[in-house]
Amino acid sequence: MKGIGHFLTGIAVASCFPEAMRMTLEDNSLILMMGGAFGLLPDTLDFRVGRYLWPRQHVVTPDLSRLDARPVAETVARAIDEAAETGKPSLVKLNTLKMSANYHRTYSIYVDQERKVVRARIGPMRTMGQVMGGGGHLPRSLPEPHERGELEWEAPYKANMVNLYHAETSVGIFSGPDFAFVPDGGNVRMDFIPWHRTWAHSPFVGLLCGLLAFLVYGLIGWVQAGDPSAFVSTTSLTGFGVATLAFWGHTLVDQFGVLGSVLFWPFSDRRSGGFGWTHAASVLGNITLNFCCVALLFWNLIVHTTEANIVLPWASGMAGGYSDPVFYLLSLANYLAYFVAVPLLVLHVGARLYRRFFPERTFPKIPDEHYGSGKRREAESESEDEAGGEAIDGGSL
Amino acid sequence: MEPMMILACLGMALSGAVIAAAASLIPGLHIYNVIAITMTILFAVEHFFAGLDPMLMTSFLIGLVVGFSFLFTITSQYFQPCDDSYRYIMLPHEKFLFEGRAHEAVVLASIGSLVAIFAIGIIFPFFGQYAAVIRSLVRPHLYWIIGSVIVFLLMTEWPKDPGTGPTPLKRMLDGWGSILMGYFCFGMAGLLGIFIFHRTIIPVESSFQSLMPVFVGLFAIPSQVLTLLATVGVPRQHIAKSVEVSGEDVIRGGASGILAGMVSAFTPSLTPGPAMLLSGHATVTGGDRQFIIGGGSGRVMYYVGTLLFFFMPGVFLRRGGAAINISLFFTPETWAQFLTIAGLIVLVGALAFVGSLGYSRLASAIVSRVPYKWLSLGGMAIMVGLVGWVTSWQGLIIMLVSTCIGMVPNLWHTRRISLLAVLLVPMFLNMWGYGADVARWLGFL
Repeated sequence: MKGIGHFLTGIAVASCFPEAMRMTLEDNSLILMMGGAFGLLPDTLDFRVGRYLWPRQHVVTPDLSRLDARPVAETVARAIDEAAETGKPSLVKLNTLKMSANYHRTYSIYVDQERKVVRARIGPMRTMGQVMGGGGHLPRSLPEPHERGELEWEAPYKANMVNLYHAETSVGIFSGPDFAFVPDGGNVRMDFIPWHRTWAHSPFVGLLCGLLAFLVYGLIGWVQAGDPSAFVSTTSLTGFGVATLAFWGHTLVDQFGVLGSVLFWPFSDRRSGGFGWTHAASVLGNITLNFCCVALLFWNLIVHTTEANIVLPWASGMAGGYSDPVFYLLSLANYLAYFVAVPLLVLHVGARLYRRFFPERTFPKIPDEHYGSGKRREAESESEDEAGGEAIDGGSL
Repeated sequence: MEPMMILACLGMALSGAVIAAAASLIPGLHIYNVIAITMTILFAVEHFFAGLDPMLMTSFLIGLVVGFSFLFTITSQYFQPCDDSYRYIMLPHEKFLFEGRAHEAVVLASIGSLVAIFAIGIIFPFFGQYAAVIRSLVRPHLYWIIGSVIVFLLMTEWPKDPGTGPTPLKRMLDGWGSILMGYFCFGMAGLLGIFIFHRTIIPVESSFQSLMPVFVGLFAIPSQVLTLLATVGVPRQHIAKSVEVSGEDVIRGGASGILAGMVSAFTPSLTPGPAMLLSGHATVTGGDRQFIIGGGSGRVMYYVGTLLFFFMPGVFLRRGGAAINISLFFTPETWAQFLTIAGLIVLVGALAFVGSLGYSRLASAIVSRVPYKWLSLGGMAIMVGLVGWVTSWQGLIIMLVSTCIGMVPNLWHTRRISLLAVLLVPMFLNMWGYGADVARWLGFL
């Protein structure tokens, strides 16, 4: 999911702690903000630290002046066999081809497990807005290749491959993807961006974050009260709960995608597969998550508000307030029905109807029996999009 | 309200839109600067307007804001081409200019603006009770909401290197070089903001425009300087008879902009820039067209929608320079006034949409005849002159400092959005309750 989704998840989780809401309203505490930060932290660790520390054995950078798919396919095929022969992981980095501030030359690799070939293709130019560059509109300053190599090449490999992720990867904008070819039983497993969703997404690190928050809030309580016994308090325990659950919320949300996370680090380095219900760049998936988080946050704001006395229609005839369980549950049911279910229904039904009457524009299909079009995936959308890195700087007033 | 009065209001609003069109010819000039100058002139001849109904002057300013929010980016799009060497990323409208499609970009942005105008006209009259509730719910939480925006901006400051260094250390240094420059930029802008909020050197009589030199320095002048340094040529522009855009682009881009405008309306110091970044992530906008449409929609929703909240009974949200200036002479009271204003906005907005098409042709004709460097030089001279006239030499010093900070993102390829720390940081600290303490610790108090 996009970074904002994880951030909102963390805030929404934090708002579910009554003590966190009390601290926010009475003590001007930043604990909800902290929830957001811990919600986003796993991706920040991966994309600001983990990706740099990851080693590389094979680096592929096609030559812009001689576009050639052959070295790309052969390097990846060699890496696969190398992993099978040595019994050790073989790591590949595919670099992007930046042509200007706006244009990248794309290329793709497709690992065909049935035919045991890696097919590489030199692709079209693409803008930073992920739009294909139209030939008639290209600036003259763009470099033209002096000579042309093979625009498509197949390189055979011998090992038996296991790929649980998408079969084709397009290398487009920003930084390119990493692959790890890992010996797994008698096969070679293909891990996409192997430095991502590893230790930094594990529940164990979430617990460590919780401990850190516990220490910080404990020390603040100790200093403010001048009493060591104030170290362990509702406040510090709430800090522990918020940080841990916000972090875990990130891991849980990621499980809805394809990639999954390393759930049992430090005991295992193996990334579990996700549920495959959505993916990081899914429009409806992201909007639904963000809407649910904001709806949950607003519900908690309503319950704990000190400035407005909001009574929802279903509970309007009742005495008491949100501290009364019946009043609370009836109001919650009303809120879920009116302000969560109806908007989501409108969104999803509307989107389906729209797509039915206005089908997505598609380019003519290239007939190719070996290409699994349904399994095509953009490498950068799973990585940079998810991390909250964006191509567009809206830095204007 | 009398029909003649409504017609008079419409006339005043259209006059405002015409003034906005003239002022929009200066690239980089901000709407609130124009309003401030207009107000200065109006107060100087106060006796002349004393007998007029305040609704008329209000309508004039409404027209000014609506017209400006449609038109003020058009000249920047044509007159400020982007030089690759100073940028990591080219924005969609900049790319369209190089492809001879600047007019198409203008039309897309205007479509977005029109979407926002219709949303304002259709949704707002029924939105009043919810807006009041949301405002009362959110008000005690604004400090951590602004803090969260800051944290999100900092945590998503992303490395601009493609990660091709030979060793992990080299890659780490390459990546963190641009991240740290982004943080540096954020820190410097934040410090400047704290200084401006707590110990500005702007003369007291000009204090209503204390932010003018800051924003001119941070955003407008660096853009003009880069235009002067640019070595690129603007190709001949094609005025297309039709525009290629899907309903999905309009819906998703428009929705993203509307969301950004609404969020920034309720959150002090959150301008459309960071709000668009947040809403773009939240609604997963994709492609150049959605970005441009969202920009047009977000601008109008922020400037115009926020202003309409000021007239909404039960809400009366006084956000932004326009609302603050109108509140000096007009107190909104009734739904009739609100509906009149909403109607004016829709009418003037629809006319501004049509006008923007001609305005784009005008800008295209100008840039094909006058070298853009001369236009930038002229624009820069006008803005420096305005800053000097309104805020005296002290303002010029602040503008110079701001310009130095504003150049950093351009030279180190970091996000310009970090510069908005100039508002976010002091507002966050003040609302959190520690603004004065921090300013005292920094020696500003």
